[in-house]
Amino acid sequence: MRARIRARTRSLLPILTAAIAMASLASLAIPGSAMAVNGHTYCNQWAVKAQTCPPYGSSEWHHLLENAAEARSGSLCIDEYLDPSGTGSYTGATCAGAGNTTAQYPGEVWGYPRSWETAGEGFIFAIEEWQF
Amino acid sequence: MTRRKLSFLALPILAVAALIGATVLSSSASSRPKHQYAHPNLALIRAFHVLRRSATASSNAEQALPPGVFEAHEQNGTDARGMEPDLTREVRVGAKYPTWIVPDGDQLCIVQSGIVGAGVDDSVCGSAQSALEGGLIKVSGLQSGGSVVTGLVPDGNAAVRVTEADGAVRSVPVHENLFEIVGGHPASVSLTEAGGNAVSEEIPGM
Repeated sequence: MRARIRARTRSLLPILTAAIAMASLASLAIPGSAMAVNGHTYCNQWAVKAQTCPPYGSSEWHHLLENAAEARSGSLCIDEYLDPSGTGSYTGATCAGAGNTTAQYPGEVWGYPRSWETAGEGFIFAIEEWQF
Repeated sequence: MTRRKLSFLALPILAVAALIGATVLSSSASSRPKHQYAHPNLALIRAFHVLRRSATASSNAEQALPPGVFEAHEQNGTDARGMEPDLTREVRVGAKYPTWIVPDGDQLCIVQSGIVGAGVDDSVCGSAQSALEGGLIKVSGLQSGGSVVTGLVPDGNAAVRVTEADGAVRSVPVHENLFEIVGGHPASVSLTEAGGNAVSEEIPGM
């Protein structure tokens, strides 16, 4: 009986090996998303003017502000609110042309890095998981 | 006879062994790390003399990068993680705002401190192609109003021609491949891209 099981297992080995190889190939074939570029992100979505992230709201995100007044076609400008207590102020805007990426690094004031990338009509913003 | 046979047999074996040895040696030589200051993108090295000069004289990342960027660089999964302190150049383009050119893989970034807010670093990163075409332009709005425009231009541009929103034209000098425009309402900048063609780049956000 044991010998029979062993024989059956042996006959299954090539099939198992092939299945594992196929699964590995399939996982490689999954196209990378923008999230992979920025590592672990809280949110990574299309946004339009006045939209916040995440869609259902969180105090962690309210300070994001697209400075539409300063942006012209094909570019993106972003201000940020530096002080979560509400007593701080917005930064000046950082703007970039299409295809380039902007970021602000406030250090210990609001200690996590953010980046934005212009993309067509809207923009993608990525908030990276890192906060003091 | 037996010895001769053996030697006939040994010859191909030795030849194969020598071939394997040579292959192993050559592969190990090619996998040796390159010089630590060798930039991955040769086109950028050729086009920007600032990248050919010695990197910022510092022994560690903390000294090479601005403080806010260094904090981000030290964290896994952040946008600044790929920035390369060893290849970073600090440039004095204007007197007021410290500026760094920071390679990040096949991208180049312009990082500046203290424009958008006290203690805040901000950056713009773009592809090598964008930089070669003169399209790496950073616009930072001052908290007090007005803006600072900083752009990277290839070798051969001693100055760039800036066209203001009202049509006025002025020349702005280039220092170490960077120009900086403080104030005004610049709408576009004319320069020579790395291929030698005259181009005009719109200034984002202006």
